[in-house]
Amino acid sequence: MNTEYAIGNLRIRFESRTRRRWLVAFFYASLAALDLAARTIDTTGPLILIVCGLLWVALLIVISWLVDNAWTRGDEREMQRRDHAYYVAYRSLLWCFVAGFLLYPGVLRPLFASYFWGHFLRVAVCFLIITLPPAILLWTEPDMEDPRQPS
Amino acid sequence: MQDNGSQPKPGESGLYNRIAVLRAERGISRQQLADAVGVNYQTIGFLERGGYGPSLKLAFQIAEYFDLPVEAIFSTQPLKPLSQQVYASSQSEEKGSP
Repeated sequence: MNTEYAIGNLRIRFESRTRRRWLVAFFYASLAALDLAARTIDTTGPLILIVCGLLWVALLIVISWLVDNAWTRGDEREMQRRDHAYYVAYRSLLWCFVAGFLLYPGVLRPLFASYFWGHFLRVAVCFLIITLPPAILLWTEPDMEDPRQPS
Repeated sequence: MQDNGSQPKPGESGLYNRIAVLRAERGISRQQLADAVGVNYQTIGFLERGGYGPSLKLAFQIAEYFDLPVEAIFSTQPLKPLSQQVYASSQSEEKGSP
């Protein structure tokens, strides 16, 4: 896993787990805001939609960069962590799908039928499948060492 | 950390090791060791703190790098201080010699 994101001379460090958790929280908050803005564009206007969209894309780029190393050419520990993140993510989603299947007739069908919640749930499901494993990896990886410190 | 080369606790991995003390003794940085055994330098840090138990392959690679038997570096039991172990072996050699 990379622990630093550089934009020009600005270097944002992510050795701290707390900081990575804030990143994940902001990412999902911006996704929810983007989805909400898209649903209420008539009243909020396109500017809010564009701002939310840009923020979400920026956070997605940062998250992709941070986990890229573990995804492509990680060592044995990184691959173990990655596999564990996939396992936890897809096992959790599987249970959500099972619960959704059981609850669909009574609870979820009216929600999916409604314009607002139906769209919200579809977007949530689509993006969770894609983004949950890296989010779990960033959330659970312990504090790391700052490479600038002498070892 | 104790100066005996072993971690005070085995950590999540359940293994004690002497990587940190061997590195310090030979003046090797985490990055140098990581490059030599083909892992991320963060992984060396996790190994030293007992946060990660290495595969058999990695354990042997580290042992080969330090030119020591693997049981001299990794143990499931708390490792004795290196100085104590060296002194004990030299004492036994002296007693054994005519």
